[in-house]
Amino acid sequence: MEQQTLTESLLGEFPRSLITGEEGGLFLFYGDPALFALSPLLAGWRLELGERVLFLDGGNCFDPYPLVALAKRMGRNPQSFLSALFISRAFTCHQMGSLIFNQLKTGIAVHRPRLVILASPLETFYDESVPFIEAKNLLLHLVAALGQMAQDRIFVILSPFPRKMAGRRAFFLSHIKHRADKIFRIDHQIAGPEDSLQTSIRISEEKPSSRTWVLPVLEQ
Amino acid sequence: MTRKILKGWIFDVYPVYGGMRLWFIDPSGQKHRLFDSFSPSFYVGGPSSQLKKTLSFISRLNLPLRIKPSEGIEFYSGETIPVARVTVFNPLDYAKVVKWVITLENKKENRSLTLNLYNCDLSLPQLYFFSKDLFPLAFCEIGVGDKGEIQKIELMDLPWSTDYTIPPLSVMHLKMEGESIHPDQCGPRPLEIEIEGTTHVIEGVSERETIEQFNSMLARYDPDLILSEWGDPCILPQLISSAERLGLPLNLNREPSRKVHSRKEQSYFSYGRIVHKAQARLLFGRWHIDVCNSFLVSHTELEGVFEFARLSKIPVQQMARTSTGTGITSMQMDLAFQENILIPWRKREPEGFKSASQLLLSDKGGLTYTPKLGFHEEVGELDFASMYPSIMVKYNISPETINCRCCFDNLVPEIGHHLCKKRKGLIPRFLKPLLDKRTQYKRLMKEAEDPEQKRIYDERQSALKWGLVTTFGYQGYKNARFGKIEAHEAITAYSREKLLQAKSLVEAEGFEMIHAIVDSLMIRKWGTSEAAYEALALKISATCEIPIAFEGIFNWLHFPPSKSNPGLATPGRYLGVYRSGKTKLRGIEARRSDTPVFIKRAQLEMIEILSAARNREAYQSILPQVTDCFERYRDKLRSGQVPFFDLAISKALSKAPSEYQKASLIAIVANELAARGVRLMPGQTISYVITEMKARVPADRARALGFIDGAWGYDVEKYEALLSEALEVLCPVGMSTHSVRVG
Ligand SMILES: [Zn+2]
Repeated sequence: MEQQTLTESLLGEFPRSLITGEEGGLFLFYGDPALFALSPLLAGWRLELGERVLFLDGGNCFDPYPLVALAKRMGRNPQSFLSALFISRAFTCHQMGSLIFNQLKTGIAVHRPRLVILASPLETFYDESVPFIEAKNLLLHLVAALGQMAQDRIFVILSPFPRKMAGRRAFFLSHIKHRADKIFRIDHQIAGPEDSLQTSIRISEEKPSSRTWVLPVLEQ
Repeated sequence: MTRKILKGWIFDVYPVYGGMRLWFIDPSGQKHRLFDSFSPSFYVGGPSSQLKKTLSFISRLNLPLRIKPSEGIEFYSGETIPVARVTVFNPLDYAKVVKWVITLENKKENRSLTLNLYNCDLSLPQLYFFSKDLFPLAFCEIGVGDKGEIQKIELMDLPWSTDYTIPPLSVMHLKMEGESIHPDQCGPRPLEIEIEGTTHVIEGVSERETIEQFNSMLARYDPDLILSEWGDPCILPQLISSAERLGLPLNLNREPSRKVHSRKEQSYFSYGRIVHKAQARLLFGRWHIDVCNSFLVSHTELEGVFEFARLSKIPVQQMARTSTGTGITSMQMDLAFQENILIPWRKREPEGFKSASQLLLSDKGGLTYTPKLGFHEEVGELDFASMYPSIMVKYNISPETINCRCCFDNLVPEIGHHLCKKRKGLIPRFLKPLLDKRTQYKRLMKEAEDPEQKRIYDERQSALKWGLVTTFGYQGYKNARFGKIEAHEAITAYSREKLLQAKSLVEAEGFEMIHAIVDSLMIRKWGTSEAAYEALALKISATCEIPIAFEGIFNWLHFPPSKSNPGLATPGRYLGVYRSGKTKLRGIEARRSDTPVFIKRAQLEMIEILSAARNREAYQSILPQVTDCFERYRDKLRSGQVPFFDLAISKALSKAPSEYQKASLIAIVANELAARGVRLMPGQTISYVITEMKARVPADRARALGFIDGAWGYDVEKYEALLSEALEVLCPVGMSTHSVRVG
């Protein structure tokens, strides 16, 4: 399924109050890769208010087109969205570290975002050319730093399930879960009789409360 | 006291206690086992309080080392900074000391006290060659003491030389008898050894006798190079484990006290696809190269490996197994080392924040104009020679020059980055001689009369071409030491500008654009002479400030319809024949790695027939001959006599066999192999034959090449369909293969 279709389906269905009502916090969305469809949505709600948003990309996964489509749906000029979302890509965990420990401070000072999105930050930590212990130590520091910074703004981490090859590095996601203030698990469901399969996205809040939303995905 | 003077080539280098073992081959082919004392160094910089703490820790390690204040040039800023130089007396302790420093760093709570390590992850042979200004296969004169200790080395060779010599090497070829199939993916076969023109097959003997016979051949011939097929993953590991099990020696190394060095296999994700790195077996004092586990050998033969080893200063065995990217990185590190630039450890600089609209602009890559579908005559081709490297040199594009702190007015077109005018970048400085050397080889190749010499120059220039290509790719590559995404973006921005300039220039001259992609233009104006094209090329080169070359005029050029959208042609998928008779094929079956040999051969033969055609009419009238050729191949298929090896399709596994959910052919065969006990890792290539595409039982649809036997047949209908596809590409819309004969 195209990310754009997913995003458009979720618009109007996703309980926006889940993340907009807060001053700050570290929120984790993990699970099916369909969760990336959430990022334009989360960004869009902030951009709509005239805010700037920072997007730290660990998986080289930023796709501008859903954001453009979303802006049009919201009756906004897509260019105004595109010029207020600021991206930095990290290709190694050390770059991700440097991005968060150093560069992010400048980014926050310049752009004053209320929302910072981290897409696939763990992707860079699964790289086996960096020894496990080194990656682990860096991640522990990094999550601690995020916890600090998330006191007065919202940090959303989007992280797909670790792939099988991650091995013991699958622990990295558990560690983020441990430190996150809110956790949502995303599942992509296909169910129903064979001739009329229904696709839906299931969002399960795991922390602090446990609630579930099932959002049908509109067929195009 | 110097006992003797030797002249010859540096063959192999590796660390031993207190220095490096250096194997040297003289012109008579005699080997010399020498020793050169060497103490490697690395550098540490950062907040001085923290530096003091770390250094006092390592000085208490009870290892012979020396810490001295020093200075070096910081790569990005170009500023000279104070650092501590840590020299480890015994090279065998070097990795240990570096690891301790890294562990200390990792444990630290306060991230603002981070230390910077420099030059610390170079291999010891690299450090040795860099510090002594030597290189693998260098020709030199050595003064040697009576214990084999080197007292002086005089280099009589340069890495940039184009007429160097290679030592006389004795080569042993090692493989399993029969076709080249991964020995793990087929039944047992006897070992085949070829040396000095004689082939020996070790057959019908016990495991013990196999080892004994192999040992006696090693002793008798003492080969410098063991050139194997599948020696890394299978043959050497099997011989080694047999010998261990039987308690027999196996004299693969010339260094008696060393065990064969083994590197484990690995699968990892890189840029959205799985890559498999095979295991490796490396020797000491002798080379082992597995031709099935070497990009450079498979693309440029040994000549390319030698050329790369000399320039990159990576020993030959390692160079054969590494990527050209690692090779060019080592060349860049060497240049930095010679200029006292500190080589950063772990690339840390992330991309600067840019808005989504800026990212859209800068992330566009090269420019492509969709080809005009169908058959064309008299098309001329112009190619920018080494476009990306030329741009890097011309505009001084390098990680430390992009978005420098001084030259804000020197803008890159379109995307808003700027480039330094004051400091010459490391990458352009490294590229310039490389570009020149390739040009020299190309000239030498043209001039050479001896075909063997021509081949050697061709392989060397082609190795350099791979190096030049990767230099660009590495600017955007995550692990590149001297790479930066903004530099990558600047290069593509310039390339788009150049292609646009060239396009408007040729259109203004009345040419019609047939196709353009990144650095190549295919254009036409009826009746244009070769001289006129040469003049046009000069004009474009002058306007674009980088050289473009006229490649030739095509008698015919065909862009077949896209498989998914028959109304359109696919960029970069075509076939054509120049007036010189040379063919050019891109993206069609004959060029694809997963096309069975039989289909490739058929398509190449059909193209060979067509290459005689000078125009549309001739092409049309030759097509029936192509049909005859097609029918011959089809009849061969139908006879059931085509060998399985020629029908094999080779593909890389995208996941582990158990992870496949659909019964695709590759999944079926992966599971067959797994059931036979073959251990497969994602990214590994497997070969199979389609037996019955429509079989109800999935396992009957395809079989692994290595285990298929006469009880199985191949799916004639399916292979006929593949053959027809290979023919269709050659039949332009509107031309019938039968019309002439019918009419
Ligand atoms: Zn400058």
